[in-house]
Amino acid sequence: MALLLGCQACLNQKDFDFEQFEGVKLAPSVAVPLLHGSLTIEDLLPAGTNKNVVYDENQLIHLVYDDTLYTTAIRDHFLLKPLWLNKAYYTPAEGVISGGDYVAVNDRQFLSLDMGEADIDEINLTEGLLELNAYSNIDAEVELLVTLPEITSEGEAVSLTLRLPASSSSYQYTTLHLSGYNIDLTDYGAGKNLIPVDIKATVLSSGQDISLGLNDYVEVNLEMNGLNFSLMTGNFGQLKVSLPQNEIAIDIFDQLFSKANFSLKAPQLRIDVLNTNGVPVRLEKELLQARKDDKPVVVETNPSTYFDLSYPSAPGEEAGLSSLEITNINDIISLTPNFIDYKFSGHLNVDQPADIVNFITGESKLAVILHADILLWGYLEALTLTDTLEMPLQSEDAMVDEALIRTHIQNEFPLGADVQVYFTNEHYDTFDSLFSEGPQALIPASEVTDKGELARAGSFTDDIEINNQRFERILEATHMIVKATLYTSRNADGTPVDVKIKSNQALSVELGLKTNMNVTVKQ
Amino acid sequence: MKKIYLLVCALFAGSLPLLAQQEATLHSMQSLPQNHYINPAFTPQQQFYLGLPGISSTYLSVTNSGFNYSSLVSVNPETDSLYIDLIGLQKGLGKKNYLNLSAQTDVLSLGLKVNARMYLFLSSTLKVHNQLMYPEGMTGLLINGNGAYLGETVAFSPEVEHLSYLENAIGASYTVDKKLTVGARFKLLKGVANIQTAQSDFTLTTDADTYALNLKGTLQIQTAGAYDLIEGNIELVDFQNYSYSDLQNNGFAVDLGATYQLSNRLMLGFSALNLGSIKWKHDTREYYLQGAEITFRGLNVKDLANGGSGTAELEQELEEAFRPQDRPMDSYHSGLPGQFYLSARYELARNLNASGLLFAQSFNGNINTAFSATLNKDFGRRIGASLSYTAANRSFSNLGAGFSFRLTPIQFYFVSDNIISSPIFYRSAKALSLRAGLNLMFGYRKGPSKPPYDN
Repeated sequence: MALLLGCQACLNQKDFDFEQFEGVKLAPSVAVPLLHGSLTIEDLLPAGTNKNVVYDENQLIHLVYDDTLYTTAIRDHFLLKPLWLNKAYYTPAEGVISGGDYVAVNDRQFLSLDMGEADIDEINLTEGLLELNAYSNIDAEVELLVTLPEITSEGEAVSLTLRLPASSSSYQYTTLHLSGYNIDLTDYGAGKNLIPVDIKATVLSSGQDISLGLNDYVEVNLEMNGLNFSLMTGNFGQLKVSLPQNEIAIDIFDQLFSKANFSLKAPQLRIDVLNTNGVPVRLEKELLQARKDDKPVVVETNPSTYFDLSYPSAPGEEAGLSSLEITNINDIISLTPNFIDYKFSGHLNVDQPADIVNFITGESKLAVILHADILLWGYLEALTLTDTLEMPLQSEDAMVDEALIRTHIQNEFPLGADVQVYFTNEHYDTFDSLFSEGPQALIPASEVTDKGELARAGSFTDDIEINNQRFERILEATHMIVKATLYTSRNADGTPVDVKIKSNQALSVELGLKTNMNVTVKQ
Repeated sequence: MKKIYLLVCALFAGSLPLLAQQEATLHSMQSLPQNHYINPAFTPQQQFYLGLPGISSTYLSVTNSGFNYSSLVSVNPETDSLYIDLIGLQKGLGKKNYLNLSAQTDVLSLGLKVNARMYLFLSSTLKVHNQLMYPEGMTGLLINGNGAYLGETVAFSPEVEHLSYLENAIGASYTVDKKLTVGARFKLLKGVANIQTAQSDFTLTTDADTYALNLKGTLQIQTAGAYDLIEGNIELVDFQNYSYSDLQNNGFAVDLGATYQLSNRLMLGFSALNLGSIKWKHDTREYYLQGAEITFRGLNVKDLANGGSGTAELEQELEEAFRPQDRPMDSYHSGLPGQFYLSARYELARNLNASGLLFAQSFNGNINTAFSATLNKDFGRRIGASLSYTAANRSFSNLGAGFSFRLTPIQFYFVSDNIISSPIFYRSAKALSLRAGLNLMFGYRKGPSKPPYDN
């Protein structure tokens, strides 16, 4: 006990006054690598993974853009309208008929398709309803047989039978779904586009004499509606359809080129027309212009006024693809249009033999597609990209006294970037920036040959230092705006040179961060 | 009882690392029979003594060669408050720094004067030694950060040692003639557990240009009797179920000593302790890491570009590369902390002696040395006291004391090499040790006995 008391007496109480203990202080310097590696366009987008980016055999990059401007269906002009037939058959005279059944009606009528000049041969129906209703006031049972011999399914013609009981007012009704039936409209001398209908009405005797009145009759109503088809063949005539004027909003040019000065060495722009109708179509250009708001540029094409579209010669064959080359591409790209105005008319079977057989299917369409192939070969100046980000740093990061970002960049791309980072308050008012000397060429463009090929990679090696005062200022920011100005390689005299951006060009990066911290860990 | 010993042993095994230290003050305490632990040629003054189980002699020692209070805690002059100053701590470290914890307790001890020339000793002692070596590089990385070592390869290869065993000893001192006394103690050792670092080689290199980190590691740790504890398969309390027969790792060691009366007043002494080893053959296991290496150059931009970060893969790679493997191993030997004392005792006056002591300890290739100067005075038969100064462990402010008080037949004592300095100079203290206990003593020698060689 005396020993313990003696020991305790020796201690300076202040040395163990841990209530006033501030914590642990240390000032480590931590250096960590942040990023490394090289990256090519092909690393980002392996060949074949994006239809809009294509690499050719020279690793040149093509930005390929396809946009369907307009789609129309010729079948819209050959729709099957409802067909109907109404016929009343009166008895020839008043009297009594003995000796069995009496055939009162045996007649052929026709349903006519309204197809204008077209001479249709065959229609394969996918939808449709055949409705038959009949009325009789004969005082004997009547059997009504309606046959459409040219509408068949698996060789069997459409045949409907109704039995009308003996009555002063007898009515019967029946229907038939026509899905899967074919209509043969081959002109057998009756005229084109006519569907024959055979009607037979028999008064049944039932072993007794048949008594007919003066006003006895049988009325037949036949209707086909809701018709749709999967295939229609025949000669569709020289139908001319004028399409209404229309405009299409496009964004590719605005996205790529509106924010910078640029020049493209070999851009391609054309209009493709895909025709899956088995019909020769002549597309006549009445209006085709690119427009930047109110400023239009006429799109000059080859052929200049019309062109005949390819077409499949039989159902199931590949669609016909026709291309309309645009000859003033640079004028259009320079305009960076945001609209294309067009007005076309289509003319069927122009300069075709009179006996040509056309067809359309249920899926047949005619699509107008704008196709752009932008080869990344040219020059670009002052393409500015900005992005606003929330600050990743928090007040807890105030323990960082100094920071140093060590940067090594090797850039084979003939594309450089001047970068600046601005720090703002919550109202986006800028109060500081990362580089006090102004934007830094963090990513220098490579040097290129006269042909735009890579000569020597651009190189940037530097330390970006952020001292304590600046770091504290940065911590006050709520947002940061990253602004990068992109440009392609320049000649020694500073003039732009056409460069080639290739899929195998690499950007190699090594980034490291060294921080000197001042840490106090409170108890 | 044996189970209790094992439990104590296990408790120490889980405590902080330590290593046996010198006991310079005990060396000078002629009134204590335990001083023959320092030199088996020392002959107790009593005809017979008995150490009671568990309380006759318990020794604890904590040392840290790396830092002390003043290098760890500083005062902020602006606020007059305390703070942990890790930077100051790092400045005070050596290349290799040792944190040691030792413990011993006598299970049973007795001594008997057989005849005028021979004194017989018998003892059973449980001993635990733990040591952690923490290199300057390891703490430097933690405190200064790797940024302070750009372009350098920093070695941070800690080593851990644990040794616990039961020592059953029989020995004797023999008076050869009026000048020379020799002594020896033969010790049968029963190993409880051992952990020893056969190889530890970890380095971190930070590239000065890119800050890329390269981490290399090779590790080989041999263990015996510790596998289940390391793997968490058993709790410490399970050791209660152990018995003496479970101690299947045998060893042998010998302590040798001699004193030489150079003149009437000056006596020289030399002892070599713990000359032997333990063969560990039961429950041996090796933990190893062979040539692990990983280089982190930052997140790969391709991974980032493809929507990943690569951090999960890095974590997995790091874990796979640096997760130690374990496997059974053949038997192996571990040495004991060999200790060597060279002393000179000068009788200034009757019952007043001044001693000088040189100490060296060798363990696993490391040699630690110490120097002590001691003044001892016996006040009659009942009281003995010593004052000592020791320089050890890069610490030069160790003032110790020893005290024994006898109320026949019971003798109470404590002895320490730094019990005075540690409270007074606690800011600079790096060690604290204490041996204390109770002896039953019979047959105190009244004055100098008739020398046997005169018979």
